[in-house]
Amino acid sequence: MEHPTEDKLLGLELELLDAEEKQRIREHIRECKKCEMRFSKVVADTQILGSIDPEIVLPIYDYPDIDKHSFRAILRFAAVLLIGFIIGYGTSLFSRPVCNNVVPQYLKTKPVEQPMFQFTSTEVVDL
Amino acid sequence: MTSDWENLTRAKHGDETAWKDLSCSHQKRLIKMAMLITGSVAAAKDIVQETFLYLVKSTTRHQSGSFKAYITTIAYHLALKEKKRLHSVTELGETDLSEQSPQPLETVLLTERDLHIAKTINSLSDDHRNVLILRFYGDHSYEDIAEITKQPIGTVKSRIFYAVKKCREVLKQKGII
Ligand SMILES: [Zn+2]
Repeated sequence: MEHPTEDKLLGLELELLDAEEKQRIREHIRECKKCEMRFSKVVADTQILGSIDPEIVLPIYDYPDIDKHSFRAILRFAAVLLIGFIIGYGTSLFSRPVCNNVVPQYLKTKPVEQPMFQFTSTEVVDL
Repeated sequence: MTSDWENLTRAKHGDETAWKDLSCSHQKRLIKMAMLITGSVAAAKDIVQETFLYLVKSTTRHQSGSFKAYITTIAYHLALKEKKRLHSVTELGETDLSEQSPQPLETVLLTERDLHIAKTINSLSDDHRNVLILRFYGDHSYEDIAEITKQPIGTVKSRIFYAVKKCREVLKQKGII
């Protein structure tokens, strides 16, 4: 039986083969010591690629407090409205409205001391 | 046991325990992925924080399917964006990166072997590297990777095959494997 190529073994490890081919190569590996070892090497090499283990201090992400912030904003707004209303209402209680008695001021016409026109109509015509 | 989707709903409504459960379950995996994509530990931590904030603040359209793939999609695209930004800053020749404090990946790799593996993965093209990172460090299925990267599944499979094959060759040359 033909030995599977290196690419096929890699394809098997990476789960890239169709079911039939996968089955065929698996059976071959079970029977062929050489290919079993070849496949083990492919698996080990592939796993190395995912084995980087950095030393990271994991940060603590604080909860963003979105709901609390918006709730507080609503509360603040309501408080401002309430205080405004109380101040307005209080002011209206303590300051009494002033009643102004309006005395009508009638115009007193004075007799004309000096006539507006000193010319007679005939003189105007003459001009 | 509470599902991640349930925890997300609770976290959105102010449940801090649900928030902690969510972040503890996915934090390490996401930081590793973001770190390998951007090459910066500090950037990776910020990306993951931003991911969780986005999760809680945004309106989730659906609550079905893989939560792991959903959260990875957010982190993955933020990481790509950050990588692009860091790359453009470097290209502009701006030397003062202290403000961004990227904390290079190398600073948290303790062994020579890890360093070689990271460099080998980093030598791949973006498309190949990202698929490899999502598979090996995100622990995602090919279907999930196709969804996350918005690529056909055939493309994802051929990329993972090429990426692993290439890395094996390079690591063999370096005498690591
Ligand atoms: Zn054989």
